[in-house]
Amino acid sequence: MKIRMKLRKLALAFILLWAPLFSAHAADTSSILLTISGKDLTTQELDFETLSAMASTKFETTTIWTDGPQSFEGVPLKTLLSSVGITQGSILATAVNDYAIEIPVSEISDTAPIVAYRQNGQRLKLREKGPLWLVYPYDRAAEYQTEVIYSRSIWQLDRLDVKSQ
Amino acid sequence: MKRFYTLDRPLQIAVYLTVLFSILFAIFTLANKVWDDVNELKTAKSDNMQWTLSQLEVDYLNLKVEQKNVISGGEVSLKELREKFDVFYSRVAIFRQGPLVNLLASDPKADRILDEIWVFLQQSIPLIDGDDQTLLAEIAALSKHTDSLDDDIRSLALSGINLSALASDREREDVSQTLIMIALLKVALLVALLVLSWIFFRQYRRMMAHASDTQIASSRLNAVVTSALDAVIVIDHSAKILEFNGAAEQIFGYSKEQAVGGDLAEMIVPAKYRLAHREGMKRYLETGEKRVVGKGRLQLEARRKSGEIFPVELSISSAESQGGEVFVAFLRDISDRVADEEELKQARDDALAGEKAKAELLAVMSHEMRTPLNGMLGILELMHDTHLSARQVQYLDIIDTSGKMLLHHVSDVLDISRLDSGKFETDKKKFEITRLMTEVCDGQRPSASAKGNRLTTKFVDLKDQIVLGDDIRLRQVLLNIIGNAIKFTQDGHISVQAERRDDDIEIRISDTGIGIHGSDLTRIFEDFVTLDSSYGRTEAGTGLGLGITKRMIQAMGGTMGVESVQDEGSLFWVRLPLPEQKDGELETNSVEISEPLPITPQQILVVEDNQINRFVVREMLEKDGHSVFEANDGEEGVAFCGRQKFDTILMDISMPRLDGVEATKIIRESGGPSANSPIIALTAHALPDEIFKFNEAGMNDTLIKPISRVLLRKAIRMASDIDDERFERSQDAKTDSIIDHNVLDELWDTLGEKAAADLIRQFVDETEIELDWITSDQRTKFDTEFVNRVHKLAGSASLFGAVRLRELLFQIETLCKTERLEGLSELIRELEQAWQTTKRHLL
Repeated sequence: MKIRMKLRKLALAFILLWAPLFSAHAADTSSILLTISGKDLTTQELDFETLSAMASTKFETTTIWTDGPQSFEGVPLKTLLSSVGITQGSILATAVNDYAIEIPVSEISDTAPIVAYRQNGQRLKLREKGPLWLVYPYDRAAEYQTEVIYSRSIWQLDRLDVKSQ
Repeated sequence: MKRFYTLDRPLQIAVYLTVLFSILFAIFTLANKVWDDVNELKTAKSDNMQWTLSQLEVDYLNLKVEQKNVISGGEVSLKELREKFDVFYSRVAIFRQGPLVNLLASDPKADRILDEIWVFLQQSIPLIDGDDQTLLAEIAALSKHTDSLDDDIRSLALSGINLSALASDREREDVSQTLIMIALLKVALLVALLVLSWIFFRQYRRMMAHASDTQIASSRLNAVVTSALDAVIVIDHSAKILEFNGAAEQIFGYSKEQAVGGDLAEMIVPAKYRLAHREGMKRYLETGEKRVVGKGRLQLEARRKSGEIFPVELSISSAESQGGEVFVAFLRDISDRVADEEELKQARDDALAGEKAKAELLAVMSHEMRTPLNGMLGILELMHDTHLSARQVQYLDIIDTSGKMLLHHVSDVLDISRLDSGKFETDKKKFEITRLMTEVCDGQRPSASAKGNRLTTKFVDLKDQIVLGDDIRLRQVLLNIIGNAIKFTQDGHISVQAERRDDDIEIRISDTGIGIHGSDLTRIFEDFVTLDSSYGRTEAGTGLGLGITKRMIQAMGGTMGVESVQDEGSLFWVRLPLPEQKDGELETNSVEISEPLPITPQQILVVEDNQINRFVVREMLEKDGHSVFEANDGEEGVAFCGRQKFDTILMDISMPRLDGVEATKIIRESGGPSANSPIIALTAHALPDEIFKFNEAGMNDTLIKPISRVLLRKAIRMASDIDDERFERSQDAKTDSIIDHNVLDELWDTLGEKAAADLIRQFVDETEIELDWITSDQRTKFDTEFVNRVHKLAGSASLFGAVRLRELLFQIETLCKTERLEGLSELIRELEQAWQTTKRHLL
């Protein structure tokens, strides 16, 4: 428990330190929803059209942040990463507010999480944890109801940084 | 715990089960809770509140910074502002739905602040979503508005810490409670386990003890069965042998291996009992009726392997075993016992037969010896009357003495057999005790002097006392003991003392003779005992002297004993019941009257099978002037009596063909010439009941052999007197007493109270009938039948001492015989009166 709390504090400190840097960068790209970058990777910028053209998945689940069952639609993260040739290592997912979380690629399954762009058939707005929200099918299994999963359920996602191959 | 053990078994089990289920339930409940908790920990139900709240402040601060940036006009980027707003908005929205709502709802202040923030956001939306111009124009106001939320945001963030702390406290408490529960349950479980293992341990020890007891009992039982002297056979309900012990092997001859599994009936039950045995088993199995089982000892027969049948004693009991009911039979070979019993029975029968033979021999011998002796002594008596030289007289005396001694010995033997058969009768007479003893001592003094002995007498409290007892037996006893004392004393002193002790008299005869060795003291009273020193042989060799003496004393109700020191002398003491008779008159013993009386010559018939006796009697009678006729036996006697009238008939009792008793009956009933003649019995048998039998048969008197002339003469005279003096005596008969009580007393003494009473009653009944007939008014004939019946009644009357009645009957008889019938009717009347009086006296 204590470790968990410490992690949280570290994360907070990190965010507070780096927040101004990223916010400046994000402000320039208006229609771009997601930027994928990496050391040995050409930075990719994906807009809604690109994303919605990709193979999508839809599922219904409850979340701890909402009331009642919600349906989510989006591109599985695995598909997204595969499209840019990332099959191993870990990625750092960062939100508009500079919340960031590292996800090992090995822990990403074919179907979960998805980079959701629709909730209950509606495009996700910034005010509603959009435009992109990394969602897991929480109801599907208890393993999706852990704090690690919750911390990886990053909303207002706008960057994916491949840490290492 | 002790009390716990005393609980009923079902209750014990119930307690165990309850405890067990309680523990199981507690474990299950706790496990469930732990499982739930684990599941709870596995999944997080909400996001991190603290983080979210602090992030709320971060987002708020970002928004504020952006607003300040716009106001300061540095780098105007409304897009950034809008983005920050949206981020803040979405952050606040998190608290308005999902599980976090519930968390904050518990804190009213936080809830209120959240509402205010939400209101601010809603109010700000039109401005944010509006055009840039308006937004720029209103940014200062918006910023100001935003700034006013500073404290609220801060407080909300702090409350997050508080809530989180509370939550983690609760969580910790919850976990610690669960852990405490687990610990408690663990302790409880441990205690339960300890209790259970303790119970199991106790149970185990009890079982072990029980098993050990069973083991010991079993081996003990096994040892008992194995070493039992009786055969022990166990069979099942189909009579199959299950157990066969060592004794059974020995008794029946089968080895255990042969016997076990075999059929009981086939092996040991004799063929003749097999069917009964099988039916018995069948009946028992069908009805449960037990005839042999559990009924204790039985005696039956069994069969050995060799086929030999032998007697057994057995008992059978039934018992429950694993294979159902079994029968346990204990059998004992009692062949030896049965044989012993048989032998013992045989020995007893032999002994009894021997005793009987001995008694018979003694009786016969004494009788057979007395008969020739009587002849011898009779002849000797006759010889005295012949002309003899002095030397011949001397020889004759020696023969006479020897003969009498021989007779004495024979009498002793007869006495023994009578004493032993209980037929010995003692008399009760009045006599002077000191005189009797003085006489005996005087008689013994010459033989005492001959051996140089002094013989003295001493009497204490006895002067001139008249006592009641058997003087003849006492005389005999004294003679025996004093004779003994003289015989074994040389040049010494014999003292005879008598002393009254209450109703008894104690007589002590002491001598200074050779004495008796201590070990012989008890033996000397046994029969045929002759000690080395010949002490007991006072009777010149029979060894019966002291035996007879002791028996006689016992028959008289007395006791006898001896004390002696060898070489110093002996003391014989006798204690006899001889009560003093204060007003007693002496009865003079007049038997030995020898003065001659005038003798009327008679016609006398002697019926006797023994030629010598016949000759002796004849000689005696002829000497007195009688005419003697001889008959060889009863039949001849009867024939004689049928032909002629005899004045007296002497009748032997034991005779071939027809004995004296039967002959007498025939003569009396014949109505012949001698039918009413006096008949005198001659016999060696002289028991009172025999004499009574003789009288019943019609005999008038009894003479006991040996017969002396004096006694013979007296008997003949008395028998004739009755006949001759009958009439004369009847003259003053009226004044006679009704009953002779002496006769009646004698009857009572002889027969005993009950028999005498019965007899008297019978006599009364018969007399009534007879008198009815005799005194009948219609009587005209006074023939022989009448006379016989009168005579017979007179005989009966005399037997019961009814003297008055007898006299009257005799008179009637005489009148009839002499045909003087004129006085008859008066006598008959008198007879009737006399009977009434007699009857009263008798009853």
